[in-house]
Amino acid sequence: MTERQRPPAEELYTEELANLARQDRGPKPPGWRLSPQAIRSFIMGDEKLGIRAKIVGQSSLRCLVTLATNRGLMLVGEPGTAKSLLSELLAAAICGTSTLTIQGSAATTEDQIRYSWNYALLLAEGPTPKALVPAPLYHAMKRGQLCRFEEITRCPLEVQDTLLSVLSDRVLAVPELPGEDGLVFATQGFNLIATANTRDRGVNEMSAALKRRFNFETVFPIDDLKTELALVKRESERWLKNSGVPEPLADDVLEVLVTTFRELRAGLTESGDATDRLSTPMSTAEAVSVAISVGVRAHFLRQDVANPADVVECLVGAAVKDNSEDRVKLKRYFEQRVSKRKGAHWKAFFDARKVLEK
Amino acid sequence: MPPSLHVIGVRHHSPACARLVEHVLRTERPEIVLIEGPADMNERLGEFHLDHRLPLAVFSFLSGEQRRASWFPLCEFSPEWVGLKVARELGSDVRFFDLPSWVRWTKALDAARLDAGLDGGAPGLDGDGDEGGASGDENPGVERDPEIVPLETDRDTDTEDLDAAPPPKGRDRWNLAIKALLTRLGLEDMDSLWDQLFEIPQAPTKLERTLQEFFRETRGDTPADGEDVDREAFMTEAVKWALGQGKSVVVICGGFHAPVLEGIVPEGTPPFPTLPSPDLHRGSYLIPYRFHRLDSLTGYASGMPSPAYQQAVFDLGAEAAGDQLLMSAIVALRSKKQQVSPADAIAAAASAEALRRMRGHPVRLRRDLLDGLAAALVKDALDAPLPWTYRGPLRPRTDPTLVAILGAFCGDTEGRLDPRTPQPPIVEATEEALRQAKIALGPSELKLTLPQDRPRSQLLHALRVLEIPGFQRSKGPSWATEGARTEVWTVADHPERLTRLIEASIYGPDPYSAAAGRLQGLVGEGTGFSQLVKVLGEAMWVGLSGLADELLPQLIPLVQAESSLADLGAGLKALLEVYRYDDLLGNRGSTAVAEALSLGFDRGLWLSEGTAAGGICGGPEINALIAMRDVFRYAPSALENRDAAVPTFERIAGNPAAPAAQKGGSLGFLWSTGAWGPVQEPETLAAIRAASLPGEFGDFLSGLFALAREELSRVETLPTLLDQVIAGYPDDDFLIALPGLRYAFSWFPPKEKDRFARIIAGVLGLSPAQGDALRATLPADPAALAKTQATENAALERGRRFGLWGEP
Repeated sequence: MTERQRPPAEELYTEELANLARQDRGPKPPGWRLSPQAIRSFIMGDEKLGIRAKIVGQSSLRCLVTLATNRGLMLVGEPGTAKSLLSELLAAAICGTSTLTIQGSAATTEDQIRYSWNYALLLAEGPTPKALVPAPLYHAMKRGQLCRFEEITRCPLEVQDTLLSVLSDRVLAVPELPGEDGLVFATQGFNLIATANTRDRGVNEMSAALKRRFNFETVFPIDDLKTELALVKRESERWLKNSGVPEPLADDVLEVLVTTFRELRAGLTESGDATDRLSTPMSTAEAVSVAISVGVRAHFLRQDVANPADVVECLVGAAVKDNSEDRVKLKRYFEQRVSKRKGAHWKAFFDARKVLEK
Repeated sequence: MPPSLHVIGVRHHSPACARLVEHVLRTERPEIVLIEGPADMNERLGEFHLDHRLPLAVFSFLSGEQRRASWFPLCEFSPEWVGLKVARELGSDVRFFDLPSWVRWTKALDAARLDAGLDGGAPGLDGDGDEGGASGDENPGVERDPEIVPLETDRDTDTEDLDAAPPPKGRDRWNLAIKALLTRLGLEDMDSLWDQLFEIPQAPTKLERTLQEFFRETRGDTPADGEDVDREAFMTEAVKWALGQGKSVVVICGGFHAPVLEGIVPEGTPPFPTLPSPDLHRGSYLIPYRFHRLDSLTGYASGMPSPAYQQAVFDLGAEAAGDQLLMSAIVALRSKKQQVSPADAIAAAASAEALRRMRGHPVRLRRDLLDGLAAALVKDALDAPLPWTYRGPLRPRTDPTLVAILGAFCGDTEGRLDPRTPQPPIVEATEEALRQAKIALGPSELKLTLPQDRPRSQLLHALRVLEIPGFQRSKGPSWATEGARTEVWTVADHPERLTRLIEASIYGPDPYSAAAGRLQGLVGEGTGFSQLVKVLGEAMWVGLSGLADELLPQLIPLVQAESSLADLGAGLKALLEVYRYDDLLGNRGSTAVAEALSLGFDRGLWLSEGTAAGGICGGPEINALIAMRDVFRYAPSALENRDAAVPTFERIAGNPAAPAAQKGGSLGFLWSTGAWGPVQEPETLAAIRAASLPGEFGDFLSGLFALAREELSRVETLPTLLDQVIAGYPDDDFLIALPGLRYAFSWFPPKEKDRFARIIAGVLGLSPAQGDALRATLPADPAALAKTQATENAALERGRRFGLWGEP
């Protein structure tokens, strides 16, 4: 079998999940493969069982509770706060599959959510169960699994509202089919995890009717510098090695990078001064990818180890996308905040600010 | 019968501990019960048994040159209260056995005085931390002057206070132990830990064993430090006295002290430790209290959070309390016109129940209920973390739904004192202060520069702040005006004076600490920068430098977060007055004011750059620039970042994108502060010409004149230049420029306008009399004139087209 670039969680962690299932003594909600406690260990890590933490944070318990009730779970937060990862892990652990996923976009239609038809068969035989092409929601309801709906607020309102009857009555009508086939009742274990981005607030505001059927769980960016620094270090090291860069980033380079990301994200410096927030999301995931490009750039372009000046170069591409105001804000951040920092690495960072003028 | 000692370590306001106390007392029926409470109340324990409505607090204070106060709150679910009630019922000998706060303060004061080698009035000792934080301090951030009194840590630490930094020696172990326990149990905070271990229904013996183990494990064998040394010494003496009586003794104390007191063995028959006697300036009184003040989320870090919930748990048990509080949160939300459907209510209850099961709690605990409510009722992304996952005041941008839910869990119960309770001392204190200050009925004039008049002014200001009727100031400097140094007060007898004075006692035992309490009440969640500066100003009038010292740190985050240049400017202006009046009002604390000024100035530079990148610069922003200029000018030593100002304003002045008014203002800043040396004619004129686009010119000039009018008036050729520029505008452009120009010239006083007019008249070759006409109001309707002008222009234009005036 050819190696996959990114296997789904249930494949990546097959062994861990099997181990947990063997040792799991806790009560399981109907239709679940594991008990909530075991799933928590899977996500938050458990040293005794040798399971690595996959998410930093504390919100998973409330998520599990929601999924065991009759409400859908809505994960909201800034981009790059690992909402999708959390939803993938939850789905993999609860029902063994994380691939029943609907990607929300402006072009998402009801067909992609519920079901569509094999038109050749439809013309030849008329509407029969055979001619029906199930979409993720249909599958999930039939099999009692979790359906993931990514970026739900990117979809037009009327498409979102397809979910209303499914979430409240737990039944999907297929009016084209006669008799029993015309109603798909959700099997135990079915539920929906949606994710939405706070940056998209107001793009397609959800209807109150739909909001009511979800419990909201806000996923916050990582709270403290140390944890985030460690995470960026670990992840960037792993990826740099994959890309053939032997040297991981030096700690002071990482500190400059992660601190800058945190401050521009929160609009607050570590010492409590206000600063501008950029319109670009400055997520941890983005910090990791900038860290990687810093390493790649230094190694392949300059055949050297990365320095703070490389960070400035790569930061511009990540932080200033198409918004010229962001460039101004970034300049202001350098002039007013970075300039006052002590330490050679901060000074080098500050001295490289000319790149911003381009 | 040999003496026996039974120590119950408790957490204050813990319903479980309260029940445990009742159980132990009723089963053991001890002859002596010692309760951790201020021992100076021992002779007046009867007061506790009058017909009050709880919550109450024992209010301990020290007034005089150093003013401090602390509260020891009691509610129905306080173990100490239950101890008092049950022990009396059983006929035990009940005594409080904690060193009263005022005794410690007095001692510390004496020690500090000794250190300073002075016999009183040592500078730096008037840190009237007023709302100081002894036992049950509602504002633990207050009594924070380690020079004078060590951190009051007992109430914080026999519960927790993981954030106290840096933790005192003896506390390191305590905090580390709790942190380790939290990690092991996978819990987020101490409150969850406490609830899960102790507030669940369990047999009293089991509860007591767990408590004992918990306190022993966390306290370890570390000795007391800081003021705990004195307190534990006092408590030890009291316990020894009790054992010396050869009787059965039960001790109810904070868990932090329990492991130490448990180890005491009987030796001899020592007397009960003595205390200095209370007097007018120090002592303890019962006062009514409120649940709101008790809630740890509003700052009282050692209480159990959510008093209304705890009360319900105490009255009804955890199960019924859960139901009741779920409903009252929902009712609270509905009363705020929020849609909470029955389905939502069911979902909240179901989530709470599911969380309980998943967390393995035998009953729904506070955290399960709150999480359940949040999961079901919050329908938006949160901007701030759930408030029950951290300690301390609510963070900004907390979801209003959550705030309402917490409000329901806190409750609004207010205590009431039996009218027979001895009257608080403020009444006598006020009369005494008035007598001493020789303030009589009728008007009196005070000169603030006279040392004997300043305290009189402070007293009157305190009464004004307390809104005691009959004290009115009819004249005097508002703190935004310079110059005036005299106040006129009118003192009159007023029928409501006594009533209001008694009511004011809730704020403190004497007019000063009461004024401090009152002012402090004005500061809270959501107080803006300028409001806080106002309170600060009042504090300075009353001479409450302690309160001022306490408010100043709060000022700093507000300054740093202020996002409006206009508001910042208003606050800076007021602050600068504080800084400059410091001398006059005889306050210390100017270093802290200086810090706030410095930060505010810094923030102003930051915001100015933001405005320069495409913001709006109107009158209020110009005023902010003036305020910054004044700070720059009059408080040079306060500013840490003074050097950054000139480059910043140079950048703005040279920034083509900056609003014209701001560019003008920045130039004005540079000239008026002398940063560019004396104003030079050529460059002034060049700068003015460079900004002479009609749409911007007026704005530019208004900024410039607002800051550097005086300096510019020395440039002789300025009027001529302005005339040239303005006269050069075509009519349409002139009309565009006119409103801005009018505004710009409004910065000039009439006399200077007159000078301007004369110069222009000279340029135009008019006589002085004709020059005066330039400033006169037009005799006709401006609209009619404009119409005439337009007609005339149209005629001229038509003539030009037909070649009537020379070339076509």
